[in-house]
Amino acid sequence: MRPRDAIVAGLRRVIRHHVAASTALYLLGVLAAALYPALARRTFVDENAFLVAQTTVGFDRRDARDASEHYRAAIDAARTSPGDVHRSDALRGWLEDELDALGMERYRQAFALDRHSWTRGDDDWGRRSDASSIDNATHGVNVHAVARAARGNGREGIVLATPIGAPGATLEADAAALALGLVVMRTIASAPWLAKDVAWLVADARWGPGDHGIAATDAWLREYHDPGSSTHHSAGHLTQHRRHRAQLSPSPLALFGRVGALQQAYVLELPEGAVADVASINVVGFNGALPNQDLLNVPVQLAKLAGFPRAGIFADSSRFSGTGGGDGDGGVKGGDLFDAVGAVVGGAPFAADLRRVAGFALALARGTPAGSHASFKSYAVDAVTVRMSGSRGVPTGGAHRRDGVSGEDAFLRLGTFAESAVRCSNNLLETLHHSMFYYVMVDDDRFLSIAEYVAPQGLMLASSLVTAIALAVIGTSTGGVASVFVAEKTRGKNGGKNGGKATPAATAPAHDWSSALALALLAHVAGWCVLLVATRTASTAAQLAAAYAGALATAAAALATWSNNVDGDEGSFDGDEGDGRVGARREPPWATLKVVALSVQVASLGALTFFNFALAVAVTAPLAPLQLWAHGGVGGAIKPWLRAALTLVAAPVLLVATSCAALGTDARACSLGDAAAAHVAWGERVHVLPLAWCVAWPGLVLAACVHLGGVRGWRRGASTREEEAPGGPEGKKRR
Amino acid sequence: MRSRDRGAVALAAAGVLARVLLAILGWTESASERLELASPVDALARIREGHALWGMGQSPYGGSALHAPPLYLALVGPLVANAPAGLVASVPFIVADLVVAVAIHRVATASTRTSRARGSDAADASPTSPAWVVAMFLANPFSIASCAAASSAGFRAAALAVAVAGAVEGTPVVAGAGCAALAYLGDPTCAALTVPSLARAMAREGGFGEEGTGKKGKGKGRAGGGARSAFVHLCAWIVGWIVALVGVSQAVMSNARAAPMDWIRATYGFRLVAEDLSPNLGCFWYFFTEMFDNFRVFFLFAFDYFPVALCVPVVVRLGWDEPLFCVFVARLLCVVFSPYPTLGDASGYLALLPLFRAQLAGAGGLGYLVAAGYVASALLSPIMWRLWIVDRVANANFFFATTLAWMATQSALCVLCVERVVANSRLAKKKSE
Repeated sequence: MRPRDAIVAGLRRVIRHHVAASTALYLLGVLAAALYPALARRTFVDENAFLVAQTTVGFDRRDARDASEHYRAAIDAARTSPGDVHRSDALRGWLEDELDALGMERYRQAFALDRHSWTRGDDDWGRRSDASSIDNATHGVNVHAVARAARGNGREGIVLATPIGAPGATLEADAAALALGLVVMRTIASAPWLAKDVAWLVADARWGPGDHGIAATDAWLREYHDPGSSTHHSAGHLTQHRRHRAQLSPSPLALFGRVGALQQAYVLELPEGAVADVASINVVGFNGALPNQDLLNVPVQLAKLAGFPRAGIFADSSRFSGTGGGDGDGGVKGGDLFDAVGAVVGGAPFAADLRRVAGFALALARGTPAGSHASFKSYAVDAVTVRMSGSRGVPTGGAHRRDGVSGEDAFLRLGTFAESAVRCSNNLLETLHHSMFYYVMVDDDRFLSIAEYVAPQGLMLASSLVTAIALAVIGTSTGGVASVFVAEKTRGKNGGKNGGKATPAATAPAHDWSSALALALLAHVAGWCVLLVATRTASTAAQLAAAYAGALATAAAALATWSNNVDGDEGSFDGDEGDGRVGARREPPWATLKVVALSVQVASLGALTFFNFALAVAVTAPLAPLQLWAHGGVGGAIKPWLRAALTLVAAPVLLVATSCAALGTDARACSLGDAAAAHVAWGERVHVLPLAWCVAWPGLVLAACVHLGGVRGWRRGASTREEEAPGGPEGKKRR
Repeated sequence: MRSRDRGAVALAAAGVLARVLLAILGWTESASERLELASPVDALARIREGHALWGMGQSPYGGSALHAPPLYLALVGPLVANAPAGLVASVPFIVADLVVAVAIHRVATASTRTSRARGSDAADASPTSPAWVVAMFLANPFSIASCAAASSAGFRAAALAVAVAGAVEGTPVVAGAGCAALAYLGDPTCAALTVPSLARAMAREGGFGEEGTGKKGKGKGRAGGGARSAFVHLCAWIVGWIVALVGVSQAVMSNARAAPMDWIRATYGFRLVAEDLSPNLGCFWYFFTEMFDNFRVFFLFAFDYFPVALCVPVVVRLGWDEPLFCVFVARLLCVVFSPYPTLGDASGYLALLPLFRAQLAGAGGLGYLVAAGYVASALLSPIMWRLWIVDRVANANFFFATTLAWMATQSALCVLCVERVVANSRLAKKKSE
């Protein structure tokens, strides 16, 4: 047998045994996901031009001492400012004076607050602890300074960002960030190696979702790439702000300094002030967007070279592993599950790796960033947030730690790291390689590239695709694909010598595609309407009501459509076999609907895989078996309408409960209303809610409709048709 | 109106409404920037550039911007001169799609009539209702998007549909006009490849040259005579129309001091030698970017030769029995091997596909695979483009993979259709013997 024939025969065999093949593929996908840690590779820096550890650092102890003095001066300036001036405004004023004294270019940008989307309500994000004037504020203020490269051409630039004023941040934390940035910029500006301009952005982190100044960084980047856009408003309540803006920046085009095309950005956060024990790297952007992996590996190495005892993406043990008992920032706490897998496969280390993979993937799937590097990534600028703090579990006492590295020593570490990072990017001549953007971190020095991590998703989607193709090509008949092909081939050769009589098993299936497509469209339009309800009301009850109303409407439409063909025309034959043409065996409508539902699922989740792999896997894993399990067969232990009800009610509840158990959160706290409110607060940029209502829910509804395909046969007491009806054999196989 | 046609009418109306809504909502500008919908030969920016040059009294073909024929520029240029283009700018494109709809409705009606006249031969093969044929074109997302993007693909589809409609109605003047318009709009190869089939259809379906009984195997001599006569008449009308179009075009261009060879070279030479290698849905751009210059001429010949080489055997085998199907295959092959294809071009030949429902009987399951290929390719194209150009996390190979998938899908459709039609034709012939 030729290789081609063997491949074709193998494919036909897979199609013929599609139930077993789909099940095997799905289980293989789950198994591959469980084996992720075993597939991990060591991290490496792909771009040699970073010259990590091959350069000397100019930031020395004298600079650290200067930083320490600036730190104290900033605190004094903030404490002696008038009472009606907000703390961060006082710090900004002090900073501008210092920059002027150093003779550095500095710019101030007043950006509008879109209160509708960024500050929903009056008590979100803990703003009430600040001065009351903040609640009435209509603009934020960014300040940025520029260090020009004497030997550069000004075409490329690097950004160093330090958000200040974040909710919960202490005065000491903001002052330390400003002092560090000030001295680092002074050092960089006078460095002989500087070939690219460097911008230092002091982002106003008082507003916006999250605590990282994302709204401010967004506004700065908008202004950078589209002058005037960040100060453009449509809401009437911002009129007063326009007056402020006119005073602050009468000519935005002239007062906004630029540094060419932005290449990389480093966001430095010092939540505990001048403390430098742990350098926690954050790379997760909006909807799981990641920077080039070099932007992760290089800071890790630089931090270790600068003397940080712990540095890396998992350096803050509470962030992903959930073992630190911390604040649960995306942590996965389903210890039992991972321990059980680890016990089977590779013991406790394997379980720990698996837990970290799950935590990282969960952070990607959530789609909400935890650092203003995400704003840069939205403009295709590779960026990373480095959060420097003290060791966990050690009481810090604000910025003045009694143990660990603090004060001047801490500034030395911080300054060394910051200068090294800028210098690494300064050395780059080319763009970073495109193959380093897709990865899942297993540990600080191990990762999975797309070649490894995409396999489970591919297998799970393939399981759905195999069933869809099988139902489309051979239908629900037992003859299988081989009989169809062979019969057609034989007919073609014989040319009707036998009168062209076609046997039922040898006929091609005929589908009523228009009805199935219309039902699928209806389900998805209904899902989109639920999303509209969610974003308008942010109410759990309203969302559930809209969702189930849409589901009932779709189910009713399906039953109404199918009842038009109620006279048992399933399995009937189109065409006149007598003329020798290929006859067509009419497939039951639920089978066609199942093909369409599976196809839509494969297409939409396959497309999502390119953008947010983790979210795509998280949706595919539960949705694929539910859709594969759906069938319109009659009889059996569970009646069709009960199967449909279970699909629509029990499956989502079970899924939420399982997810909450894995995440270690209270299921009662998982409110759809909160999810909708968060979706709006993030400017509707996060994919989770649209995916849930416009892809996952319609998929469930269609699966339920497929189950309802058996209602008619059940009502007619069609147990006698069990063996003959097209749904019977497949139903039996599934059961 | 039959009850089954009500749904078709509603679908067709929804398709037209979608076109109008997209134009009103201002999607023309963003859609015309998509490389899947607009090519260098009909991008709005290029038409605007040409129109502006023309308005200044300069030759619009002086630079390398414009590659549309003069009459197209004269018709569309003033409407799209100012951005953003509104509803008025979309009117010619909506009208072109409606012309396609009317033409294929007439073709479907004539095919149904012919099938009935032929009696039992195709009684089994209930042809698609003309209303559904029209609805499937007007509701085709590709044609809607192409119309929203103000792509000239709609005009080419209209020209082909008019040519086919003229052929099945036995009017060489209309068929010749459609064929000449197709050639004038930039696809002379396709126009040439369809002429024999159109002539045969004119004789067989349209009753031109005292044939038209539809009885196969009888009076082949008379049929051959009818086809020859139809061929001569059709060619004469095509030449006449082309001369008229060229003459009017030159007259229109006279005030811009554009020599005839200027716009002929810019319009047709540009396509022939594939000067612009910016990425699109075709395979030329990547192939010729990677290729050493020494081989460029040879492979240009090979690529331009492919449609002819593949189409002629189909015409020889099926041209007598299924002339309209040969027109469909010719158009499909020309789009596959076009240097600047768009989704609108695909919608042009897909408009004819429902006419062959009877001939394609038995391919339903495999048709799903082809349809899935079209959807997947159309979905992957913007994704890969974004990954490559916007997010910079991919390279040109990713997008080229999409174009290969697009080409493979169209090729699969071609192979599948030809295989089914040949098989069914053979079976029918055996039975009649």
